Amino acid sequence: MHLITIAWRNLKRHGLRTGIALLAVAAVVLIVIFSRGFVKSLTESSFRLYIDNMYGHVRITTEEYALREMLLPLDHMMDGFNSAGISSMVEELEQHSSVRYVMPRVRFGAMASRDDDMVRMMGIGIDVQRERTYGALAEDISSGRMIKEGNEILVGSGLMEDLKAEVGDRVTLVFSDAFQSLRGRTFQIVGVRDSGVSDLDNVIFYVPLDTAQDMLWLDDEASELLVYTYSTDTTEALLADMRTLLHEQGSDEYLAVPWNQANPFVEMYSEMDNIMFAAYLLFVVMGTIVVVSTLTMIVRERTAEIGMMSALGLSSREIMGVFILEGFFIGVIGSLIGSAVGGLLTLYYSQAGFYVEAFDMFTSEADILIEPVFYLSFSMENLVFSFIMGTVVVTLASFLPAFKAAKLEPVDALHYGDD
Amino acid sequence: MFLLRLAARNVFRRRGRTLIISSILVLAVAMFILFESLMVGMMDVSFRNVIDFEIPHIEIARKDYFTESEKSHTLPIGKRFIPEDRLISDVQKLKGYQAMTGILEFSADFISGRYEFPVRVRAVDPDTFNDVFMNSQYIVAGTFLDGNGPGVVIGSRLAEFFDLDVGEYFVMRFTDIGGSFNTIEGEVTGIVTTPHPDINLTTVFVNREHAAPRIGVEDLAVTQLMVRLEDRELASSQSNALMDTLGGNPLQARSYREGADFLVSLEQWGYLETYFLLALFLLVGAIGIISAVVLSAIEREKEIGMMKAMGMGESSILRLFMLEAGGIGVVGGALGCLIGAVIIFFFNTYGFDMDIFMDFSEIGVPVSGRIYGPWNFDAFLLIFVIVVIVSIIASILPALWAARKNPIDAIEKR
Repeated sequence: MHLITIAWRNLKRHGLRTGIALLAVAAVVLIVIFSRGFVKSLTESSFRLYIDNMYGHVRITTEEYALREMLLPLDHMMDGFNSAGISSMVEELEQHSSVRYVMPRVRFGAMASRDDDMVRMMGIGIDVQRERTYGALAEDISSGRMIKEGNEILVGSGLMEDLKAEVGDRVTLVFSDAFQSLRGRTFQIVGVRDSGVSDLDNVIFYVPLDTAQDMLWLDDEASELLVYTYSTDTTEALLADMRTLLHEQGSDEYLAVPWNQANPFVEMYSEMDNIMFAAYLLFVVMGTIVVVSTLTMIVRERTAEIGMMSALGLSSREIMGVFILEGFFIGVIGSLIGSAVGGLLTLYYSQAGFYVEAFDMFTSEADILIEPVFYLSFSMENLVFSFIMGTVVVTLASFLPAFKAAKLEPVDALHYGDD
Repeated sequence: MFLLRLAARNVFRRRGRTLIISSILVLAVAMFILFESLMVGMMDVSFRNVIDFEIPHIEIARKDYFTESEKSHTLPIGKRFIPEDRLISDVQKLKGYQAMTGILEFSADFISGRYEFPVRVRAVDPDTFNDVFMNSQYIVAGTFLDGNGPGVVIGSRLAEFFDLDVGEYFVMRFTDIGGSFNTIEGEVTGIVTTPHPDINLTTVFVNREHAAPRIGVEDLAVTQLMVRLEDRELASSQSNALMDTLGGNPLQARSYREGADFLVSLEQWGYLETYFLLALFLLVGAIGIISAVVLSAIEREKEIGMMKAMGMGESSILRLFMLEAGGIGVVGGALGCLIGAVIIFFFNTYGFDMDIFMDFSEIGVPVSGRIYGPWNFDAFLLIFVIVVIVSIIASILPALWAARKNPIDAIEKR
């Protein structure tokens, strides 16, 4: 107990010096919280877009479809277990406890001519009832309404501009059906989707699933099933379930792929936290350098005092303890300040967000689903992680000067002040 | 001069502390040099791939071609032109001129078997095309175009999607200038794998002599005139020079950079990131410097009091501490540059495999394989100067604090 008192008193001896060491720790902890909050929000919002729009938690397609997806082929449809139709397969999947809901979709290419220009787009046939109940689509509708049935379409905001159309207008689309013949059909635009992500808004329109099946000459078929579970964390369990089920049903030509392996960009970003760990550590080590140099100086300054203490019978372990405690206090208090400020900062920017033009330009040109405004993700986990990281690294680093102090010979140490 | 000597002595007096504090700066400097080189290396490869396979140093087209091809899904084949002799001789007079070729570019659906995929078709004159572009050197199967005949050269990723081999049949469907659907059919004569991933998927090459009548354009018509120069550095100045001679012409010349919006914005974003990281590193470095100044001021309280009592002014003491901080900055900057140079040496010699991070081609960046970090001495100089300046600025406040101490208190203490 008295060791703690000594350590505490020592820290208060030179307020400014201790203050700067605290500042250093607080600053690096703050940087770690900021960067983690940034990376987390960037990846989380991007992942959510991918999960909601492209991959579900697990996506089931035929193997061939996955291979040629870019061509939007109509040849490799899924027609359910034992060809019993996709709707019964959807119902069967939804029986599983790990499955929250399943969304069947048909993707196809289409064109419309506007003036001299052919506007290319991607149509997605959606199960209106399900998407309306669960999906993210309904939230993004900026004007008009969700599609219901028949020849109604919901159009991305960017595509809407290309089509020079307005809600209520009728457009004629040209597309190839499953038999490769070119066909046309006129649709009514009933709503506009504005997700804020150019890759989605500029090319995609949505049409009721049965309309899509009808116009493309498909039976009860879909190009993909997006399977959703209750939380991103349980994707692994869902994946295992789905794979077992597919195997049991003898549908080995179907492929179940989890969202985090569906796209190289997502794959890399889901590893991001591990890659960044080294960078965070580097920052904390940099801040720790300040603490070490402060402690080293304290040791030197108090050499005579240390000599006195050990002459009075304090063991070298106890002397080490005093200095480690001092490092520990700086670590705890500095990290606490850093976490508090970091918490406030991330809390504020988790609501406000900030906009960087260069990033917007980059994302709108790149084939990535990502929002052009930055938010910082606020989470207790982040604060606790950074706090512990700061405290542990600083305390470990203080072993070095503490060891130096403990090694001093009492007699030498007492004489130190003389020269 | 006396101050300088005093400062130097003080910096070396606490060698341990100088090294410890400057190691923060060393980290900052080395990281910056590495990041900068990585960035420049990546952009360098990207731009080189764009120049060799997509848009060479200078691209000449009608102004309305540029504007329309940017905002529309379909390439505006109607906005073509026939290069006049005067334009050709003007281009040939450009500084560093090497070669030029005319290209007729249009959008089509590539169809084979039961699949179709939208592509950009480049109708080319193989002889001159090969002087400007490198595509023909990256043929992996079959041969490049031979000047006439209906064959096409496609990229390897497209071939993979369609399961196509040399000698197999394809159809391309497009809208001709009359507005009706038309097709080009034939055999695949060659497959290319270029280092520019986009070209491998979305671009199809066909003989212009064969394509022009099918689209319904004049024999000599082109949408773009592509010019290769000796050196990338010349592109911007020569395209401006060409713009001047074009005068009121409806044509426009632009350099490869203006055509590669995506890369330019990627470059900006990259620099922003690098400098943001640098700022964070330097922030920690500045705190280190403040701590160093405060520590040495506390340690030398008596000494400072003595100097003051002997008539040294506050401003001299201020300058002394600032010089010392600058000294730490110089040590940190120099060591950092040294370590940075070692890193760059390896990076420059052995390169760095980008594929271990991710497949950049998937997000549209024309980079694949190994990149090599170039030596950029400006970066070394820049970071060295920045580190020294930041050190000195960071020391101002603590140095003021140290210089203002009462000499009597200082000596009296203890």
